[in-house]
Amino acid sequence: MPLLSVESISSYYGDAQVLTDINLEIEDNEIVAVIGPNGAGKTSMLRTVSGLLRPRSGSIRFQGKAIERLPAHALIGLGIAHVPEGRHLFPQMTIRENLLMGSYGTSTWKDRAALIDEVCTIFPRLQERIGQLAGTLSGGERQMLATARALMARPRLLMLDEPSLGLAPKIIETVHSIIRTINQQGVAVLLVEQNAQMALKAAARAYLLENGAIVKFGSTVDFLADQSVRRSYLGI
Amino acid sequence: MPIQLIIAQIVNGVIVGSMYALFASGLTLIWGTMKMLNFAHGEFFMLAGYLVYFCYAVLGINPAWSTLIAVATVFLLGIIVERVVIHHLLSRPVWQLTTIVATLGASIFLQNLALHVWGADFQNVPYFIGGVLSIHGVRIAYQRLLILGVSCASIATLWFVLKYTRFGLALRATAQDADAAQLYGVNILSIYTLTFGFSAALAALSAAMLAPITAVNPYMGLSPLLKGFVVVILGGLGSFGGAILGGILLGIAESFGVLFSSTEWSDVIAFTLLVLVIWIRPWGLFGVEERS
Repeated sequence: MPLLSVESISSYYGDAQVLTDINLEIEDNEIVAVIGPNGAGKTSMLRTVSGLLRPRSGSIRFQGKAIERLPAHALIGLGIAHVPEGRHLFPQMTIRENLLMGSYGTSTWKDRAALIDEVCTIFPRLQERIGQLAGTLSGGERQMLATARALMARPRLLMLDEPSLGLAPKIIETVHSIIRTINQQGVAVLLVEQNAQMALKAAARAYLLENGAIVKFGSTVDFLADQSVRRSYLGI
Repeated sequence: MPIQLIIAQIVNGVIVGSMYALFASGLTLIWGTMKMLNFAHGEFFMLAGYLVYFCYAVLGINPAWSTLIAVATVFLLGIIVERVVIHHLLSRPVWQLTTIVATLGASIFLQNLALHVWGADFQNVPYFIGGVLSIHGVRIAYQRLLILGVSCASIATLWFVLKYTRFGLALRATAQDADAAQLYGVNILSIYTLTFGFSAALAALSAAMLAPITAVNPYMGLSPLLKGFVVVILGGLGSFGGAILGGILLGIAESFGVLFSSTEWSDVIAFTLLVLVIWIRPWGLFGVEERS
């Protein structure tokens, strides 16, 4: 049984259809990349999985349980952590408070103090600035805090929306090596990136989303060998 | 002008201002969290005024219990109003407008209900404690000191709850980023309901304290509502600290204003201050400039 299976999902913003018949699966401990141009529906897809956007049809199962009708706030407790595009930190709250919010909706709340120490070993920068407001952080630090906040929930599935957006190449390397570390600790990762090169390097399998529909999926080896993918998304 | 008079005016300004602060922090709590204006805030104030009148002046229950009964009842009323009038609007399009109209409607309804049930007569509530404190010729009624004490204690409690409790964390998270709050397990709709209840309770507490120095009547909520909007705009909409400082600032400005003019001018002073602030610092004295 896959960890997450998205079956024939269609979503709309008002009357405008943004997703058409999306099918996607993630196994335990897998890194799966979703690539595609700006406006293809990548973010809408993640918002649909995490309940911020209601699908009009189709179903979503997490560990076999139907979740497409659950309210957004119920999913973190099941083990789905979503780091949205643009990080969506709580800017007027300290790093510590942002991390606490990661535990808010889960059974990890009682272990929150120990968990903060634990995630800070992965992100030592955060420990140094634990009392600082999140709004004062640099772009790279924000991404790290957003990821750390998600880890505070001890998720089974981590969904990252454009983690490398707006970051310097060196920081992108760091972020991606952290993603691999997290994955090695047993967390499945759904990685949505416009930066196809980085995403395909990190993942084992990938989906290509164009105009709200999946147009190609398979192993990243196939993606990297595909002429049209190389031309359109890798600039080779 | 004698120095005692100036000191007395400052103290009185701070006392009245602390009440403005308490009342306005309810408005700013709702604005900060739900991004809506509550025009029925004054009616929660009015209903609490009547509750205190009936409990204390009519039934003779002691002032502390009367206040508690009024605050708790209005808290529940706030929750009911949010569930019945506002809740279903929040997830619909143009809720920014519909909630204004809905709270205005609730305000008119509650005002007229009070008028129908209790009549237009002004009801007087006796002081909770009598006596006057006199230090070096500066005279302050104990009732006013009680007001100051209660508002300081409640503002400190509110600050503590917002800063250090799990509920406060969820409330601030909702205010700062409702989507992210939901993703991390906050049921924002129940946060909205509770915020509305707590906001109404703050209006109720200020009404209970002020009932003995103002008369209880169906329209008593109007003036604090207008002042409350002045205070939150003065301080910066949605800023809790801004509401408190704005409230005290307005209280002092008014009490000095009446030294040089008559009492009827206090509204003129308040709104002149408002116009000046909107003109010079539209984001409020303590708010942060919004950039789009």
